[in-house]
Amino acid sequence: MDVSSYVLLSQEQALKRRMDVVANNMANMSTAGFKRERPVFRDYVEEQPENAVDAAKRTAFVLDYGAAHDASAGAFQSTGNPLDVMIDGPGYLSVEAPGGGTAYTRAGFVRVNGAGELTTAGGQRILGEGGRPIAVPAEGMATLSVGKDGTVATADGAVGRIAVTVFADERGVTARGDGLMDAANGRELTAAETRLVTGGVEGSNVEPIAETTQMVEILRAYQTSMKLSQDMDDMRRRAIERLGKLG
Amino acid sequence: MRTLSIAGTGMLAQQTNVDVISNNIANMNTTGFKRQRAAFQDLLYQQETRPGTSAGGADGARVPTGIQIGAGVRTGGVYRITEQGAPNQTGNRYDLAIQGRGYFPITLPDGTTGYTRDGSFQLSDQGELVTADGYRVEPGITVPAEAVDVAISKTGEVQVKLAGATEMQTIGQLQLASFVNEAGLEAQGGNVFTVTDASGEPNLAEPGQPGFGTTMQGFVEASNVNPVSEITSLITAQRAYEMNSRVVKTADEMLQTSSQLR
Repeated sequence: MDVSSYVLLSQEQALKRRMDVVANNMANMSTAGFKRERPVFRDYVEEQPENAVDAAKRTAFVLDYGAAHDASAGAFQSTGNPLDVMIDGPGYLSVEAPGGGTAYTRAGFVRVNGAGELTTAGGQRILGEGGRPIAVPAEGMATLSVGKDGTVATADGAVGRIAVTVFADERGVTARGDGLMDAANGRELTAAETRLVTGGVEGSNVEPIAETTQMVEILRAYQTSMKLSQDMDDMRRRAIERLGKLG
Repeated sequence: MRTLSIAGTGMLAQQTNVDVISNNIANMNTTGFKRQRAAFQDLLYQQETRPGTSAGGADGARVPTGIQIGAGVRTGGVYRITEQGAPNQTGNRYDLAIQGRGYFPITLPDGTTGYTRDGSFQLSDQGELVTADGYRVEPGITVPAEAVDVAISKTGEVQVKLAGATEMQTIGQLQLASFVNEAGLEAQGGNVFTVTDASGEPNLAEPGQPGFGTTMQGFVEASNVNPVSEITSLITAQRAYEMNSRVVKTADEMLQTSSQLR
């Protein structure tokens, strides 16, 4: 069977998938704590019958395999809010997930809710050491500060410590939207290991230039692939015409 | 192909970003204005293959990453940065700047209490201390017509010197309101904020008490907008918008290639 158009089709599908990922990266160019994604593809070699010619035995389709996070750090973006934090190095802030349980984020917008608890920009409570929310007494609000090791303090002393959780397998951290991630089996860093930069958040690690060149590459590959299918079609048509004449 | 709609969310987000920045720039000279910032979040992810599903081999291997396609971006919130603005000297003796935390409570026309950091006060025809819009500053302070000099201390004590008198006389005490969550106040326009569930109830105290700022007579608090950083943010936002429109164009070209196929 002539599988060439199917091979090209698998390539075109993969290119469209790549384009979707590039578009999502571009859209999140200004999203704090966003980690760009890279699609991962692999080849799928179909089993050929014994009598197939050698060239046919090497037919490989493109298969979607997954999308991997690029966990490299984004640039520090100053916000002017002394409570905002950027995690220097690997790890995530743990927050209370909207549906219960714990979610993780690197978007360090820290705010105070009406009850005096530290929350993220989305309103999820930030969990401190041991998974407890951090509550600040009303009289300490004016002198509230966050230290390099995550200690949240007022003039009257520490009220808690923002916990940073690291994961041995970064691939197990999956995005769930709203800047939150799901992950399991994390380890809370001790105060001595925690390094936070205050006064700003971590910008997105999307590099617009890299994404643009990717986009051009995708477009050209797609056009080439389309051109090939068209040539293939022409070839088949000519073959039919010619064979028809012979008959 | 989701690319078109994904890039659409990117363009919308940058548009919001430009809206926020332009409002900041427009209020560069607004007394007591606090600049705002848009915070973005990624949208939900479509799970094509869940991470951790079986890879199909006999060895029980698992797909380590899965296939997740994001659906773009959305504005997670626009929040106010309550950084102190610089004090601007005006020479008007009823002008007050708050150095530190706190808001002046004022009576709004509907009888409710509003809060402002715009301390460009004046006297009404009754001699009452009012804002530039004529809203009475709480608790009411009336300056007698025969006063020749007015002094407002750092702690908000209002003293007057009456014509013919040799000593200053205390006629009132200003108060400040502070909130657990200042960012939760609702902006009403006209430099006025009102209480919401998110901000919590106000705590009233005299200026200079722990956790409250002090008042400065003859000054008003300038806007805390930094034009340089706003312009650079504007350039970044504009370029980000262009990049996203470029994505739309590329997706369009891909679709065009497909549609021209025989």
